[in-house]
Amino acid sequence: MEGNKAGVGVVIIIAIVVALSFSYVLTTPTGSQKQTIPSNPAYTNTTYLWADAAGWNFNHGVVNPTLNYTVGTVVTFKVTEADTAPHTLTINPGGSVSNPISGESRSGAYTVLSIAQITQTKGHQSQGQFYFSKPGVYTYWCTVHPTTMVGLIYVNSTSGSSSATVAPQSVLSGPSNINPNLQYSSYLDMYTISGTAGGTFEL
Amino acid sequence: MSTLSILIETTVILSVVFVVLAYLYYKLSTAKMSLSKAADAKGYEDSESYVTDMMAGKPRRLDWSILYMNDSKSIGLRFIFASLIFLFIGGAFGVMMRLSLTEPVPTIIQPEVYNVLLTEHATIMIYLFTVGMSLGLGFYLIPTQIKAVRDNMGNITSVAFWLYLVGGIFFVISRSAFRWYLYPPLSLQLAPYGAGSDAWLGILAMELIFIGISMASIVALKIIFLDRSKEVPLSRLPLFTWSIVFTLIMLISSDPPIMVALGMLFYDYFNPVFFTAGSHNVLLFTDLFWFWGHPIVYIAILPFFGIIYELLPRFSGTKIYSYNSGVFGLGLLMVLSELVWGHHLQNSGLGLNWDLFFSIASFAVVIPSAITVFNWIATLWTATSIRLTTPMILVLNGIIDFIIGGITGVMLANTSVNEILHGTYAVTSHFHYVFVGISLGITLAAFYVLFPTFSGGRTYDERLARWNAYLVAFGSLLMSTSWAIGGWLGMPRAVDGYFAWFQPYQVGAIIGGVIIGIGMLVFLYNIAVSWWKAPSTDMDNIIENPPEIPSDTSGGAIGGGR
Repeated sequence: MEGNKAGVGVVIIIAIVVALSFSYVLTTPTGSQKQTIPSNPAYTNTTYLWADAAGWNFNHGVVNPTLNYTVGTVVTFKVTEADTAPHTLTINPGGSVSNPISGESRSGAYTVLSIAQITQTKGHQSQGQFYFSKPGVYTYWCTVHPTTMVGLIYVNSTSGSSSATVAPQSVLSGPSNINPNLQYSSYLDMYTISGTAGGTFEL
Repeated sequence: MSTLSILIETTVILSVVFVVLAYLYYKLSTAKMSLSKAADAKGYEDSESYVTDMMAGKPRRLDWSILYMNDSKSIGLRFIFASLIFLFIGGAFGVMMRLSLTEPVPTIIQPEVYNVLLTEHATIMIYLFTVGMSLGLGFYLIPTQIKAVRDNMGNITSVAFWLYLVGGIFFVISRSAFRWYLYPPLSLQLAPYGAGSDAWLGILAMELIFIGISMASIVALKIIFLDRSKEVPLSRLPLFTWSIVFTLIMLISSDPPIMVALGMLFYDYFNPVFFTAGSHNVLLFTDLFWFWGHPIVYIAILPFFGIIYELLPRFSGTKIYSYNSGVFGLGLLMVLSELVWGHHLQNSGLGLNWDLFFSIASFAVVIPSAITVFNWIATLWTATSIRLTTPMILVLNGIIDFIIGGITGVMLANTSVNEILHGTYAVTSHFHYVFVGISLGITLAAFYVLFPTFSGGRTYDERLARWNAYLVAFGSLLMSTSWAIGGWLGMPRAVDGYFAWFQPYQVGAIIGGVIIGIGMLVFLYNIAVSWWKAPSTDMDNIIENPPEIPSDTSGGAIGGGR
């Protein structure tokens, strides 16, 4: 017992534990992945969105509109800050109307516009690009408000085909669909303060 | 990756983990079995009292039996070495954060990862390292200092330790990104993927840690007040024991609000009624937090003040200048720490009257701090011979760092200055002066002093220890000073980028942080190399077995106080 080397063991444990926790934390999945925008795309498109915590385009037309693009389009998103909350514009492949951000669709997310880019200044417009290289369903959403600010993007396989096109509809019309408690706690004040509650928002 | 391969991989990994756990459990239960057989042979009913009687009054070295022996010193060693592990995890995260700021925009790591590193660094350092080290040093040193006659609640302390450890592991696993003060709109925000998605686990981990440290504190206070030998009356309690007493009273009197608040926060995940963004109760949570959150930063330094009080006389060959004012200073720090929590909320809308109250209360903290510092300076002044060993160098550096950090802290307490400086690196520089100088530096000093006892009679490499002390001291000074200058110029803290014209201050901080990291690697290397050698000395240390100090200390300038 006199000559035990427990301290060396402690040093080895420290090295292992530090390395493990270090690699664990550094591999935290984040919303950002690399994307290359082709310099000479087949199609281009410009889409305007209003970022509001109650939903994309809230008070500016259809809330959370379903977007339709042709495959091979580079879309320039021009996002205007409609309230003073932080937002992101994040796009990832997959999704459906009933469950737009299911577990599978979270991998491969690409943040087109980050919180820093969509400044919390009301009325400020920022822009970012996304290249739809594959056909299918995509989800666009805000990582800060994942339950309210979420909508679908349909990218069809051939140009001009209308098979994958769905008429714009409000996927999630408001926070009351998700969590009834939020109605009274988070969002009630927002509307009474801004004075835009009126008859549009059912309580 | 297909579902099948995920299933196969998960099964294999889980099987390996469970085999390892089963082996560890087998080893542990065998050791416990042999322990209780030995207790039976000696005629003891239970192995607990056999262990405490066997260990009582002896220097305790580190070996694997600390994991199942439930006497105070074994549990103290558990806390000390667990918090040392957490120190290195948190330190690695801190250095990584510095390195990621080499350029104004985030390049090396993603912003989400930066937020996780920030949260983990702060939480691990404050809740797990400093509190764990305080409890560890307390449980390790106090039974000797008060000549404890009874040590019969070790199983409760053991449970407390495991709760603390499991809480720490959960917190690292949770990858939380809500800063160390868990403000609700952010901590309730279960981000749908990656960073912050397991914030609920972080809240649970905090609750476990709080339960653990509260239990351990109550047992430690019970040991100090009820199990003390009659030879050690309260009037002659060593100053380190006093510092632990004040620390633990502070801890158990201020953590109930945050424990309740954490429970409410956890309930909010299922039914958001308490702290949701629109409920006006978010400021209430900040109050509940900072009522605990200010005392915690004193909990993180008071025990190390006690260690300074123990080490100064040993290396300066004289008594502490004034024992009474030492106790009074530490006690006043405890009282005032409960009255100043609002200075963390000066720009949160408490109102000018409250801001002024908390500002003045914060100025009052200068009084006990100055009493303590002048006590140390007077001790050094009246010393006959100061030996500049490595622990003494770290102690002197700690005193200097505490003076600088204290003065910058008083500046921040000014309401009008705070309006400019809050949220800048000036705040970071203030508490890193104190924490690196006192909490980390004095931990190293205590570790070096206790090293012969921990290692069963080995000596550390003096040259490497010097390098460690100098590197940590210089790196801390460079890092915190760069932050202080940048902070006064308006450099915002806790963000993953900065305006390019702050580059010089960030570069200074990066170099300082890396120097601290290298210094700590030297420390780790020193332990490994020194422990590998054969024991060459006895197991005594100067804190537990103080050398005789001559009662006649007339050599000093004033001739000694008490």
